[in-house]
Amino acid sequence: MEPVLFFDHVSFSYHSVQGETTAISDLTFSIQEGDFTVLVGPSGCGKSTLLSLACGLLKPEAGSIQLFGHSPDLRKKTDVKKNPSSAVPSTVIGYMFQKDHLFEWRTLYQNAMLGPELHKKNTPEIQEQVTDMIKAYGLTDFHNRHPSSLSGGMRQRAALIRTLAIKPDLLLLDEPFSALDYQTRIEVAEDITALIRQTGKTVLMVTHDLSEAISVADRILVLTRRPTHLKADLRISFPNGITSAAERRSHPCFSEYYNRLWKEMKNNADV
Amino acid sequence: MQMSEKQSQYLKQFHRRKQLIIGCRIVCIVLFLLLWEVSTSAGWINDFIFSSPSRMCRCMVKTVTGQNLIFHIAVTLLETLFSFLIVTVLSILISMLLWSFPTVYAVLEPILVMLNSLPKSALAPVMIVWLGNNIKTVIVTGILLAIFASVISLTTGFYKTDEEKIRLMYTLGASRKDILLKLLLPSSVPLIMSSMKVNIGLCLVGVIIGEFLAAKAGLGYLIIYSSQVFQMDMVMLSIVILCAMAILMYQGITWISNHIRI
Repeated sequence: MEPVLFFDHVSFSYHSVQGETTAISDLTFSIQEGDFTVLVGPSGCGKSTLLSLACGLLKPEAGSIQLFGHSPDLRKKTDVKKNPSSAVPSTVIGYMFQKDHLFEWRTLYQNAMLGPELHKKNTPEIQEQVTDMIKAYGLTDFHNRHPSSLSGGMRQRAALIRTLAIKPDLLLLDEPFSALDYQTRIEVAEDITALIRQTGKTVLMVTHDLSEAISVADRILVLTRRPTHLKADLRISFPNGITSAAERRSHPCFSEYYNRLWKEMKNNADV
Repeated sequence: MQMSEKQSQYLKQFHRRKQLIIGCRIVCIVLFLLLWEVSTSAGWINDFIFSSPSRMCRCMVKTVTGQNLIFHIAVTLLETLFSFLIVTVLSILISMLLWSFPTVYAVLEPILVMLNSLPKSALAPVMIVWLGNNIKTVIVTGILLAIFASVISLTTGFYKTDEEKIRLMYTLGASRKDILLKLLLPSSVPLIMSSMKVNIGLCLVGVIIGEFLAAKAGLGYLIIYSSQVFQMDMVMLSIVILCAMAILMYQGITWISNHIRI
């Protein structure tokens, strides 16, 4: 099966007058359809760079990236419009950040509709779907409210609706829970990942939190410190196919996985 | 909902403090006017040079009917509002352009800073030569006084927009135009409002400078003309009216900015 995302010997460095910082060097991995893959690594190992590369915000300096068999490009949509005959089915990517970045001047509904609005797909059909999603996520009462009246968890749900409204083929999550305080964070991580699992979408998430990774992932990739390369590739499977983050946390297998990952990360630090 | 004892106590205290502040302000003004009046009538200062509240009142009654004071006020007010409007629109447009073309901004930045620090009153005589001894000079001087600072603060504000919000817009398929119209402008509304509050005052300053040099009407003209014929009552009255105008226009902008929901 063709991988959703394929990094082929990718290197990337940042340039400034002070010098060059290699963020990623010779990184190869692939993501399979329907998988919830989590990248873990020490802070500053270029995890966010990796996501920017995956969605085409940055271009690799060496190697190549394949997204559904094509090189990722956010601006492809317009090219398709100009030249419909060469139309490549454009891949839509949903990106969730650490902060929810809801716009304070828009209501919850208007925030959720931001994507369709920018894609020029503001159809009654989408409007209905977004309204349904708001209802399904228990935010109907806040439909026309501004983000300041939402709690941290509700804001993350709203950000998820905004991300899903453009019907992404791949979800990129950049430490989406780490801006929350500890208790909210556990609850929201459980809540949001359950909602994402319902959609059955392919997910690539980055985090530095090992227990968060184990509680949500199908597969964990361990990255090393800069220059980043792949250290370990671990498939996570709990007995009876448990996917709930809370159940996983209390399962005996959890600490087993935790210790294995911890060891990998530790070796990593010694290098 | 039933208000708790503490809450109503707090509210009472809050309103009492507010009334106290307003009361003190009024007392300040009344005391100042009283002191002014007393010191002229007691002969401590010369009321021909310093004027006095009562002389100003008499002067006002006379000029409202005789010399068209209302007309002069209206001229200054309209000139100020007109140059303020142009400054607001122009500085938003220029800042949007400077954000769209970072290289152009990098080239122009020191020039903008220089023009901003330049005493604009030095330009007024140049404007008379270029534009003539008329209302155009007055309005352009008003614009010149405010526009550079306004452009600089708005452009800096645009560039300070959260990088991640811009990335979010890109991942949702935004073009640079979308980012300007749907992210930068709405998120800069508070900044635009605070820059407008500064601009209205600066425009008034510019208009008065312009009227000093090139006008046949307006409060600035009235001040220059009256001081030349030694009608100090008229000069002082005009200054008091200018004070009132400045505070009223500022309050107007504040009112507008409080009623814009962002």
